[in-house]
Amino acid sequence: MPSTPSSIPITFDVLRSEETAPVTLDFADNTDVISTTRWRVPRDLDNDTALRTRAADAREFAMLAAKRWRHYRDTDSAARSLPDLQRMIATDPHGEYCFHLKVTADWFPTSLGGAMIRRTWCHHLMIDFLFVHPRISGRVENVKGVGIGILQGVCSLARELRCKRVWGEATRDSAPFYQRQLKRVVEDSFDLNTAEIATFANQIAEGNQSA
Amino acid sequence: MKTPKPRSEMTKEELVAHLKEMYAAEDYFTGVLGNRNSFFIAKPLRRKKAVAKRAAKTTA
Repeated sequence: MPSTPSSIPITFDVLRSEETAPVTLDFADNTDVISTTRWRVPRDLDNDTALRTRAADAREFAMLAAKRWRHYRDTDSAARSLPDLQRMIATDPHGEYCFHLKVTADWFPTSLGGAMIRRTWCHHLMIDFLFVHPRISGRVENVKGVGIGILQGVCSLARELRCKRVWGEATRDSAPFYQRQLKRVVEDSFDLNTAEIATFANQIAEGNQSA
Repeated sequence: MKTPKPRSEMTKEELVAHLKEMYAAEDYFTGVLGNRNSFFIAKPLRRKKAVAKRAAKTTA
Protein backbone atom coordinates (compact mmCIF):
# COMPACT_ATOMS: atom_id res chain seq x y z
CA MET A 1 0.00 0.00 0.00
CA PRO A 2 1.52 3.34 -1.00
CA SER A 3 2.15 5.74 1.85
CA THR A 4 0.60 8.99 0.62
CA PRO A 5 -0.59 11.81 2.88
CA SER A 6 -3.80 10.68 4.55
CA SER A 7 -7.09 12.15 3.36
CA ILE A 8 -8.58 11.75 6.81
CA PRO A 9 -9.54 13.52 9.09
CA ILE A 10 -11.49 15.74 6.74
CA THR A 11 -12.92 19.04 7.93
CA PHE A 12 -15.70 20.38 5.73
CA ASP A 13 -18.68 22.71 5.97
CA VAL A 14 -22.29 21.70 6.52
CA LEU A 15 -25.27 24.02 6.58
CA ARG A 16 -26.56 24.81 10.05
CA SER A 17 -29.67 26.97 9.96
CA GLU A 18 -28.62 28.29 6.55
CA GLU A 19 -25.13 29.21 7.79
CA THR A 20 -21.89 27.35 7.16
CA ALA A 21 -20.56 25.34 10.10
CA PRO A 22 -17.39 23.20 10.14
CA VAL A 23 -17.50 19.50 10.99
CA THR A 24 -14.82 16.83 10.98
CA LEU A 25 -15.04 13.33 9.55
CA ASP A 26 -12.69 10.77 11.05
CA PHE A 27 -12.33 7.12 11.98
CA ALA A 28 -14.26 6.15 15.08
CA ASP A 29 -12.80 4.15 17.91
CA ASN A 30 -14.60 1.84 20.29
CA THR A 31 -15.69 4.65 22.65
CA ASP A 32 -17.11 6.64 19.73
CA VAL A 33 -19.11 3.72 18.41
CA ILE A 34 -20.49 2.69 21.78
CA SER A 35 -21.44 6.31 22.59
CA THR A 36 -23.95 6.30 19.72
CA THR A 37 -25.93 3.62 21.53
CA ARG A 38 -26.83 6.30 24.10
CA TRP A 39 -28.57 8.44 21.50
CA ARG A 40 -32.22 9.04 22.27
CA VAL A 41 -35.22 10.07 20.21
CA PRO A 42 -35.94 13.72 21.13
CA ARG A 43 -39.09 14.30 23.17
CA ASP A 44 -39.76 17.35 20.98
CA LEU A 45 -40.99 14.89 18.34
CA ASP A 46 -43.62 13.17 20.48
CA ASN A 47 -46.42 14.82 18.50
CA ASP A 48 -44.94 14.29 15.04
CA THR A 49 -45.22 10.66 14.04
CA ALA A 50 -43.32 10.97 10.73
CA LEU A 51 -40.29 12.77 12.13
CA ARG A 52 -40.34 10.66 15.26
CA THR A 53 -40.11 7.56 13.06
CA ARG A 54 -37.12 9.04 11.23
CA ALA A 55 -35.37 9.80 14.49
CA ALA A 56 -36.15 6.31 15.82
CA ASP A 57 -34.73 4.80 12.61
CA ALA A 58 -31.50 6.77 13.04
CA ARG A 59 -31.18 5.54 16.60
CA GLU A 60 -31.87 1.97 15.57
CA PHE A 61 -29.31 2.07 12.74
CA ALA A 62 -26.68 3.44 15.11
CA MET A 63 -27.39 0.59 17.51
CA LEU A 64 -27.30 -2.03 14.75
CA ALA A 65 -23.99 -0.61 13.54
CA ALA A 66 -22.60 -0.75 17.07
CA LYS A 67 -23.72 -4.33 17.44
CA ARG A 68 -21.99 -5.29 14.23
CA TRP A 69 -18.92 -3.31 15.33
CA ARG A 70 -18.67 -5.48 18.45
CA HIS A 71 -18.66 -8.56 16.27
CA TYR A 72 -15.78 -7.27 14.11
CA ARG A 73 -13.96 -5.86 17.14
CA ASP A 74 -14.12 -9.20 18.93
CA THR A 75 -12.82 -11.02 15.86
CA ASP A 76 -9.91 -8.58 15.42
CA SER A 77 -11.14 -7.30 12.08
CA ALA A 78 -12.22 -3.76 13.04
CA ALA A 79 -9.91 -0.92 12.02
CA ARG A 80 -9.67 2.17 14.23
CA SER A 81 -7.61 4.32 11.87
CA LEU A 82 -6.52 4.41 8.25
CA PRO A 83 -3.00 3.06 9.00
CA ASP A 84 -4.70 0.31 11.03
CA LEU A 85 -6.85 -0.63 8.04
CA GLN A 86 -3.90 -0.47 5.63
CA ARG A 87 -1.91 -2.72 7.94
CA MET A 88 -4.73 -5.26 8.04
CA ILE A 89 -5.04 -5.24 4.26
CA ALA A 90 -1.27 -5.67 3.87
CA THR A 91 -1.35 -8.64 6.24
CA ASP A 92 -4.20 -10.36 4.42
CA PRO A 93 -5.20 -8.73 1.10
CA HIS A 94 -8.32 -10.88 0.85
CA GLY A 95 -9.49 -10.33 4.39
CA GLU A 96 -12.80 -8.65 5.17
CA TYR A 97 -12.53 -5.69 7.52
CA CYS A 98 -14.84 -3.14 9.05
CA PHE A 99 -14.41 0.45 10.12
CA HIS A 100 -16.66 3.16 11.48
CA LEU A 101 -16.62 6.82 10.59
CA LYS A 102 -17.86 9.64 12.79
CA VAL A 103 -18.71 13.28 12.15
CA THR A 104 -18.04 15.65 15.03
CA ALA A 105 -18.12 19.38 15.66
CA ASP A 106 -17.35 21.55 18.66
CA TRP A 107 -20.86 23.03 18.38
CA PHE A 108 -22.66 19.66 18.78
CA PRO A 109 -22.50 17.68 22.04
CA THR A 110 -22.08 14.24 20.48
CA SER A 111 -21.30 12.93 17.01
CA LEU A 112 -23.57 14.29 14.28
CA GLY A 113 -23.59 11.03 12.40
CA GLY A 114 -21.61 8.01 11.44
CA ALA A 115 -21.30 5.05 9.16
CA MET A 116 -20.25 1.45 9.30
CA ILE A 117 -18.22 0.51 6.26
CA ARG A 118 -16.89 -2.85 5.18
CA ARG A 119 -13.81 -3.37 3.07
CA THR A 120 -14.69 -6.54 1.21
CA TRP A 121 -12.42 -9.41 0.26
CA CYS A 122 -12.09 -8.06 -3.30
CA HIS A 123 -11.07 -4.61 -2.10
CA HIS A 124 -14.32 -2.71 -2.53
CA LEU A 125 -15.99 -0.56 0.10
CA MET A 126 -19.53 -1.42 1.11
CA ILE A 127 -21.71 1.01 3.06
CA ASP A 128 -23.50 -1.14 5.59
CA PHE A 129 -25.12 1.55 7.72
CA LEU A 130 -25.03 5.32 7.50
CA PHE A 131 -26.98 7.49 9.93
CA VAL A 132 -27.21 10.99 11.31
CA HIS A 133 -28.08 11.92 14.87
CA PRO A 134 -31.80 11.59 15.70
CA ARG A 135 -32.01 15.33 16.41
CA ILE A 136 -30.83 15.98 12.84
CA SER A 137 -32.90 13.31 11.08
CA GLY A 138 -35.89 14.44 13.15
CA ARG A 139 -35.20 18.05 12.09
CA VAL A 140 -35.00 19.32 15.65
CA GLU A 141 -31.63 20.68 14.53
CA ASN A 142 -31.55 22.24 11.08
CA VAL A 143 -28.31 20.71 9.81
CA LYS A 144 -27.79 19.70 6.20
CA GLY A 145 -24.84 17.95 4.57
CA VAL A 146 -23.81 15.35 7.14
CA GLY A 147 -25.13 12.37 5.13
CA ILE A 148 -23.69 13.51 1.81
CA GLY A 149 -20.45 14.51 3.54
CA ILE A 150 -20.04 10.98 4.89
CA LEU A 151 -20.75 9.53 1.44
CA GLN A 152 -18.13 11.83 -0.09
CA GLY A 153 -15.71 10.93 2.71
CA VAL A 154 -16.15 7.22 1.99
CA CYS A 155 -15.29 7.96 -1.65
CA SER A 156 -12.23 9.90 -0.54
CA LEU A 157 -11.05 6.87 1.42
CA ALA A 158 -11.88 4.56 -1.49
CA ARG A 159 -9.72 6.69 -3.76
CA GLU A 160 -6.87 6.67 -1.27
CA LEU A 161 -7.12 2.90 -0.85
CA ARG A 162 -7.49 2.49 -4.63
CA CYS A 163 -10.79 0.67 -4.32
CA LYS A 164 -12.55 0.37 -7.66
CA ARG A 165 -16.04 0.28 -6.29
CA VAL A 166 -18.18 1.70 -3.48
CA TRP A 167 -21.51 -0.02 -3.20
CA GLY A 168 -24.47 -0.53 -0.95
CA GLU A 169 -28.06 -1.51 -0.67
CA ALA A 170 -30.87 0.89 -1.45
CA THR A 171 -34.26 0.55 0.18
CA ARG A 172 -37.58 2.05 -0.82
CA ASP A 173 -36.80 4.94 1.50
CA SER A 174 -33.20 5.55 0.45
CA ALA A 175 -33.45 4.90 -3.32
CA PRO A 176 -34.84 8.42 -4.05
CA PHE A 177 -31.84 9.94 -2.29
CA TYR A 178 -29.36 7.89 -4.29
CA GLN A 179 -31.26 8.61 -7.52
CA ARG A 180 -31.07 12.32 -6.87
CA GLN A 181 -27.42 12.20 -5.85
CA LEU A 182 -26.24 9.84 -8.58
CA LYS A 183 -28.58 11.20 -11.26
CA ARG A 184 -29.72 7.78 -12.44
CA VAL A 185 -32.32 5.15 -11.67
CA VAL A 186 -31.48 3.20 -8.54
CA GLU A 187 -33.33 0.07 -7.56
CA ASP A 188 -32.30 -2.09 -4.62
CA SER A 189 -28.56 -1.51 -4.93
CA PHE A 190 -26.14 1.10 -6.16
CA ASP A 191 -22.49 1.15 -6.99
CA LEU A 192 -20.05 3.91 -7.72
CA ASN A 193 -17.29 3.29 -10.23
CA THR A 194 -13.82 4.83 -10.20
CA ALA A 195 -14.89 8.00 -12.03
CA GLU A 196 -17.83 8.60 -9.68
CA ILE A 197 -15.65 7.89 -6.66
CA ALA A 198 -13.22 10.55 -7.91
CA THR A 199 -16.04 13.07 -8.44
CA PHE A 200 -17.37 12.69 -4.90
CA ALA A 201 -13.88 12.59 -3.42
CA ASN A 202 -13.06 15.85 -5.21
CA GLN A 203 -16.21 17.50 -3.88
CA ILE A 204 -15.17 16.94 -0.28
CA ALA A 205 -11.49 17.59 -1.02
CA GLU A 206 -12.20 21.07 -2.38
CA GLY A 207 -13.75 22.05 0.93
CA ASN A 208 -11.33 20.16 3.17
CA GLN A 209 -10.04 22.57 5.77
CA SER A 210 -7.74 19.95 7.36
CA ALA A 211 -5.52 19.77 4.27
CA MET B 1 -21.06 19.78 -9.98
CA LYS B 2 -19.04 22.69 -11.32
CA THR B 3 -17.44 25.01 -8.81
CA PRO B 4 -17.32 28.54 -10.21
CA LYS B 5 -14.26 29.44 -8.16
CA PRO B 6 -12.25 28.00 -5.28
CA ARG B 7 -14.20 27.95 -2.02
CA SER B 8 -11.55 30.04 -0.33
CA GLU B 9 -12.38 32.87 -2.72
CA MET B 10 -16.15 32.65 -2.30
CA THR B 11 -18.13 35.18 -0.35
CA LYS B 12 -20.20 33.86 2.54
CA GLU B 13 -23.37 34.05 0.41
CA GLU B 14 -21.72 32.26 -2.51
CA LEU B 15 -20.49 29.50 -0.23
CA VAL B 16 -23.95 28.99 1.28
CA ALA B 17 -25.46 28.86 -2.22
CA HIS B 18 -22.78 26.38 -3.32
CA LEU B 19 -23.41 24.11 -0.32
CA LYS B 20 -27.17 24.28 -0.82
CA GLU B 21 -26.67 23.04 -4.37
CA MET B 22 -24.21 20.33 -3.32
CA TYR B 23 -26.47 19.11 -0.51
CA ALA B 24 -29.73 19.37 -2.49
CA ALA B 25 -30.18 15.59 -2.44
CA GLU B 26 -30.42 15.69 1.36
CA ASP B 27 -34.04 16.76 0.91
CA TYR B 28 -34.56 13.11 -0.04
CA PHE B 29 -32.38 11.76 2.78
CA THR B 30 -34.42 10.27 5.61
CA GLY B 31 -31.44 10.16 7.95
CA VAL B 32 -30.33 6.60 7.36
CA LEU B 33 -28.82 4.54 4.53
CA GLY B 34 -28.52 0.78 4.53
CA ASN B 35 -31.02 -1.92 5.31
CA ARG B 36 -31.89 -3.05 8.80
CA ASN B 37 -33.07 -6.36 7.34
CA SER B 38 -29.58 -7.19 6.12
CA PHE B 39 -28.41 -7.21 9.69
CA PHE B 40 -26.93 -10.38 10.97
CA ILE B 41 -24.36 -11.44 13.45
CA ALA B 42 -22.32 -14.53 12.93
CA LYS B 43 -24.08 -16.33 15.67
CA PRO B 44 -25.20 -19.87 15.05
CA LEU B 45 -28.92 -20.44 14.86
CA ARG B 46 -30.51 -22.27 17.68
CA ARG B 47 -30.94 -25.87 16.92
CA LYS B 48 -32.90 -28.47 18.66
CA LYS B 49 -30.74 -30.79 20.61
CA ALA B 50 -30.63 -34.22 19.13
CA VAL B 51 -32.50 -36.54 21.39
CA ALA B 52 -30.84 -39.86 21.75
CA LYS B 53 -33.15 -42.70 20.99
CA ARG B 54 -33.92 -44.64 24.02
CA ALA B 55 -33.49 -48.32 23.75
CA ALA B 56 -36.79 -50.14 23.67
CA LYS B 57 -37.60 -51.88 26.83
CA THR B 58 -37.61 -55.56 26.53
CA THR B 59 -39.62 -57.68 28.78
CA ALA B 60 -38.65 -61.16 29.40
